Amino acid sequence: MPQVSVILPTRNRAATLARAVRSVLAQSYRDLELLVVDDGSTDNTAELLQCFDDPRLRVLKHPPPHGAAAARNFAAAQARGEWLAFQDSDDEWLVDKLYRQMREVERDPAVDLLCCGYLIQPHDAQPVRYQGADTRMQRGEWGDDNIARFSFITPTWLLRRCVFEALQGFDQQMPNLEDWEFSFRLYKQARIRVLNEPLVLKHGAPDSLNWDARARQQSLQLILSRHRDLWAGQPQVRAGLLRELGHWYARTGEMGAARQHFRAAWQACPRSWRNLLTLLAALGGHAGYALLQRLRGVRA
Amino acid sequence: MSDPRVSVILPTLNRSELLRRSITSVLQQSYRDLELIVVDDGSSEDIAALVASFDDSRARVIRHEQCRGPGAARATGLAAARGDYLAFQDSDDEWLLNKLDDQVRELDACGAQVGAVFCGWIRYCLDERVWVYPYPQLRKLIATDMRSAVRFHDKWFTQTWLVRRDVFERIGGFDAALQIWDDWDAMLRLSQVCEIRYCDAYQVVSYVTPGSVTDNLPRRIASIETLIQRHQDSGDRALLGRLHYMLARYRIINGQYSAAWRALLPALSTTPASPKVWFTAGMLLLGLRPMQYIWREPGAGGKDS
Repeated sequence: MPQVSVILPTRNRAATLARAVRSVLAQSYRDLELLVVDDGSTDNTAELLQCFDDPRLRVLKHPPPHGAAAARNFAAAQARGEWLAFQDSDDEWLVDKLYRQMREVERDPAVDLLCCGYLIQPHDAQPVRYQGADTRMQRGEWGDDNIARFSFITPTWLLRRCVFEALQGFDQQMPNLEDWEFSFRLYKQARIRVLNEPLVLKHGAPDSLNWDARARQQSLQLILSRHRDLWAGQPQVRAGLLRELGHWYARTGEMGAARQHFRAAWQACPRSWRNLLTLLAALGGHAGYALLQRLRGVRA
Repeated sequence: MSDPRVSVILPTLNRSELLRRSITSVLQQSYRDLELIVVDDGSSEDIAALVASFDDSRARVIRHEQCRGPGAARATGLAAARGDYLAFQDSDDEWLLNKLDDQVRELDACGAQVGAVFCGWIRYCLDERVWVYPYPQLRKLIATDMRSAVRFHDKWFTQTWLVRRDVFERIGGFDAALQIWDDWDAMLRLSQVCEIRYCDAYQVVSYVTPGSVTDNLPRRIASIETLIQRHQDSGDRALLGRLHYMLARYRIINGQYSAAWRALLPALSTTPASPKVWFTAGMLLLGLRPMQYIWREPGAGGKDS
């Protein structure tokens, strides 16, 4: 029985999939199984996966409905390891990722989810960045006030399988941000820690589903309505989410909906100059909003 | 057994914990036709057992009974190398798994006039800053004029290289007399005999860890002096101007007034159009203090980003 089950959902990503799979099978920590979920690919994904001659690799065909959340849940139901790890078809693990993480959970057996830092290499000429954790996150102190800043992508996770099952996995209704939503359900009953080292390399892809604005809007709406209790005592966190949602509406040109959310943000937290400023700019329509974004240094 | 195509040379002194990662990243390369030569420079830790634990016939260890320094360790590795191509690994670096595959393909595709290729490098520091190499300005220069880039920039990380062995032997390999900048010196001599190409991808990731070999001022000065001697006859005025300017800079930081002038005057005569050399000379007329104040970070040399 392997200790770690690695779950990799993919659809039509043959160009980068080999790199992602290889970076899992090449891990210095060997006691793992890799479950690749082919979520209805129509390119040569299947042939590509046949080239890997490693008994630890299993390919699963995922029946519809599709989506990363459903595919991950489907694979988790067939996983045998005590721990779950997740990989994405665009990303690359550094060779000691699982070794360092498994050593850490042996030292601190109370941990349920251990994330790690990651390097982000954008697809354009933007500089490489590191996403890590502040000292509070490293100590495992997550509360209502900082859980919304949980920004660790699933490839950085090492999660106890029984915890995943107790929470019934990812929410399949979420078109994306399902990992973020999961963290909101997780942190109250589980111990989350971050190993603050770069162990994953994230390759930014221009057509990644993450950047699909419509999916973002829907996901944020779901999170806002579902975790109402979470924001009850944290108006500034709720305002931040509403503002974020407003920005995504502005991105698709729906200034009416954007204004509505900026107003809700301001009402939730009227003392914040940022909420007021965003609302005032959006009241000026497209031009006002675009001016504000330019001043903030956000690229269109 | 026929000779492997790529010889990877990895000198190390202890640091087993890091070495595991570094070796794994070589042996797990998607390009398989390689040999890994680990040169154990007199470690007290059991490097041979560590390498044996990988159970991979492509890896072997050559041991120096006594520590002879990183330059000598690399020379030992070079003497044992059998591959057509040479690559250099370090104990605190990790190669991404396609590094050799991409580079071998690039070097195979180029004609013999291209003697070496190198790739990009991501360096993560403990304070969470991330440096990339080549940085944007250097990348631009590499794309337009590689030979100038080699003269202008003094750090060429050997972990990113793949070099034809015959070309590297022709230039005589690394200069054992240089404690610092042996990579730069080799790059300069390579650029005189062949073309060098850049593979535009970050394929090496490294972690700056406490205990890495650091360099000091007297060593820097000695190495620059050696570099000047070696390249004196090349007639490359831009390079010699830069070397003399660097020497003057380190001597000023080190507090050597007249020695600084002895370096600055040749810099003025070889690169009379350089405003920073004139500026330094003007300030030096006022004594050592002004320029020491401007360069007040001790030991920091060149552009480091």
